[in-house]
Amino acid sequence: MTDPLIEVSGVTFAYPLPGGGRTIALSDVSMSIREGEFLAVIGHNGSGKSTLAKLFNGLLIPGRGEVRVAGMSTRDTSLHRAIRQVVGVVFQDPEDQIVATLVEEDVAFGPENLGLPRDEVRRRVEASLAAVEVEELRLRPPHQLSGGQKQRVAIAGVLAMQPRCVVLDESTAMLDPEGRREVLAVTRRLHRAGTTIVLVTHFMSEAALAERTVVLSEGRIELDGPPREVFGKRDRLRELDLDVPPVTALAERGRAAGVEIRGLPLTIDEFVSALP
Amino acid sequence: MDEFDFARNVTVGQYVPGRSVVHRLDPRAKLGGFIIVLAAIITSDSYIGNAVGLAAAIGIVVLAGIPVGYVLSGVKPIIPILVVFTVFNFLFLGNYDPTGSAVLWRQPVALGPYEFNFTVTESSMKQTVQGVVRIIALIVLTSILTLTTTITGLAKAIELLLSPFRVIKVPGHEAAMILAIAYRFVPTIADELERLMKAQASRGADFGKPGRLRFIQRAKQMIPITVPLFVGAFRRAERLIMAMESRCYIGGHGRTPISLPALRRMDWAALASATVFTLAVWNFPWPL
Amino acid sequence: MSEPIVQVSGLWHWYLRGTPLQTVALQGIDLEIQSDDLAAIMGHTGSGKSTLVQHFNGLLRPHRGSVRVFGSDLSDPKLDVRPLRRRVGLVFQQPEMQLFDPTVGDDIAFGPRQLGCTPEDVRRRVRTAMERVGLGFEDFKDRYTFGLSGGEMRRVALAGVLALEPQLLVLDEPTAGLDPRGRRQLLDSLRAIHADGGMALVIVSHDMDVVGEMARRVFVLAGGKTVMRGGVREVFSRVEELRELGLGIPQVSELAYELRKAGRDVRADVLTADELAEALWTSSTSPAT
Repeated sequence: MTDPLIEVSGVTFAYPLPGGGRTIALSDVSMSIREGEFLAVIGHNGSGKSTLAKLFNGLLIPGRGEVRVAGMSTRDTSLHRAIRQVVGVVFQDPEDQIVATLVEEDVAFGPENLGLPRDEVRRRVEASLAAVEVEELRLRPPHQLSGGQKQRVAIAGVLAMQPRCVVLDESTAMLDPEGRREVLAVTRRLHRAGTTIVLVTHFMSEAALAERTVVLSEGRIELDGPPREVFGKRDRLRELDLDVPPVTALAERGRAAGVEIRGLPLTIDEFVSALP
Repeated sequence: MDEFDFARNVTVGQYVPGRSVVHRLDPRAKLGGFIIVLAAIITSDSYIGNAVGLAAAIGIVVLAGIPVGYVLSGVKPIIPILVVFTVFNFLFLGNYDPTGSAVLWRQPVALGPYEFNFTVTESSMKQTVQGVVRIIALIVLTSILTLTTTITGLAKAIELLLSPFRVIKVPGHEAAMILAIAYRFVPTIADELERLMKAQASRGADFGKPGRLRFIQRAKQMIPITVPLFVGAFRRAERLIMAMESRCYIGGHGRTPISLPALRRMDWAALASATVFTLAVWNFPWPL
Repeated sequence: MSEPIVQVSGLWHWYLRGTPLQTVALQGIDLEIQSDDLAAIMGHTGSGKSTLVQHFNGLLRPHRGSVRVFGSDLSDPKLDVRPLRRRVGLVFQQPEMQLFDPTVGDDIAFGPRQLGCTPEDVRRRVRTAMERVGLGFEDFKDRYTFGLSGGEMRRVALAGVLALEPQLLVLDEPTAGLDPRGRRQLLDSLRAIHADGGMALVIVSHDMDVVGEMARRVFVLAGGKTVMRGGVREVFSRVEELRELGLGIPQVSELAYELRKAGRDVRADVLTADELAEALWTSSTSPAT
């Protein structure tokens, strides 16, 4: 069994409050992420999920405990450059990730920061633009792009670092349905190509796409398992003021009404075929 | 009718693509030329010299294939400032003339117990007129620079021109970065400003009629705009920093060096013409 | 049938009209809102929906065609739009970004104070508005605005508009960026506000689930034109048309549609999970009972 790509051990993290004192965002959290996994982290705002995302690449350092990325501890700031080439993070606001005035320049920003030679920068930019299908937008200024396009450009900028893992911190929350579809399609493609994906979201239907679901509540991990297993625990989820994908909820009602429904459908297609 | 439509009269900072000679010049040549020609206009002490400088600036606009009217409309927003400048200098500057030039007009004024003079001397008149011409020329030249050069080009030019001074700690890369990021966010913040004004207007906020001079009251009225704009800007900056750090940005050190193609004959020719022009304007014995 | 409070006929509007960057935003919109309406305006980003609703309180004026709000004709250049802004409350996207006063109560009081209300009236309005959005008056009125959570700040912003006591409330993407809990709270508040009476509600959104949950009537905008209009069930039953426009339908309705395509006998206008469950399973009596 190979070492995990990301290892979180006994991590506690607290934010300072304006009037003094602190609020605890994560409390003694431990988990590991294996290479190639597609993991969804779900929870309410305030559950600690965004804090966790920022701990994965050393933007935040745990108060207690440790986060190791490919064996490197995020406490060691001299390793941050290496760590951020293993784990890339795409954030929630499509606007505030794009730094340059043209799309292709922004995608080049990461490789340029690494001091790579010009032709290597160019190669990576080409590959990244193609991976998210924004080649025809390469000379556009960011403010002319739609939300979905901007997020794809942000993803391209992260891909240009050639990370082994991409963390999407609520990256679809501010997009319209079309933008969300675009970003999720790119995410699935990346995963199929071997990239480890961590999808931080509060949309249950997005979590249903993953192979593994981790449920966070008030800074602690409450549930951890395949979506079918986690969404089967509806009562527990209700206690946490969360729910299951609408399709799954409906299947439960059917089952309660005595209908024979095979398995636990998570998507519309599964539901349609699960009915007797 | 469209009280919230801002985008119209700003010509400084807009890039208009084109294939003119001016567009195709290297940004370093343009930046250098800009500074040289500006020097001619700002330091020349003769009326005709200034007029020639302004005419040259307008000539470059024509050469770039951009409508002169469009560039001059960029002067419109500052006309109120120019008017105030002209009136005040015209009336009062003559009282402080160190050169002792001839007085062209004097009008004593009595306001209650206070007595003072409106005075126009040859020198104060010249300074007033030249001031206006120089401001207009500055706007025209800056517009032409930004209308024909992409911000990327300008930022690279600044970074390259300042890079030899890195040894004395001149932050060329940082300056270029600040310029580029500020420029990139101008449309975003303009949209946000428009949305803020509309949102506050929808709550009954009244931003007053233009031209009111009660500054303190005006500033207070703008708080529903300025506070959210600043708070928003700081939040935006925080998010941007996180995104930049996540992509390993640590400043200019160790970055892939930016490059521009070598200067061509036409770039050197442009710089040379600018230099010759400026020297001519300085040394020509203008009658006025 | 009483006079509609908003009457839009043949409305055209251009962005940056008169400049080289001019583009058409609205191309002949027809729409009306009644005094007790619960309507939604749906469409993509760029369909013109935000431009449309900004005419309702006079932020924008018609370039062609007419817009009448509470009887006032917005084409009249002499019309003073400020009284309109107390009758039509417009809540923009992410309204929490417009908060500026460090004290919650004072920020909400801004609108009423601008209207020239007496201090007692201001206090009453602030209290009522806060209660309507679920922020306890005593608990929150002295809190530091920028220290609240995103969901709380949004409710403060909404209260700020409600304090004007408008007769028409227009909300642009009210649930954008909220987590499921915040979304539920907000929609519950809006439903209660409408049920109280005296206010028409117009929700502008591209979120089909919100529209399906809240609206009774729907207008669909695409490319600056009204391409569909009608009762919410009727519009959402036209699945193929909506898909062609790149829009979707509420998840439950989509499930019903796919079931019908697979040959199941499910009615065409399902909107809620309850309805779908009923349609699927009341006919088959449970063997357990």
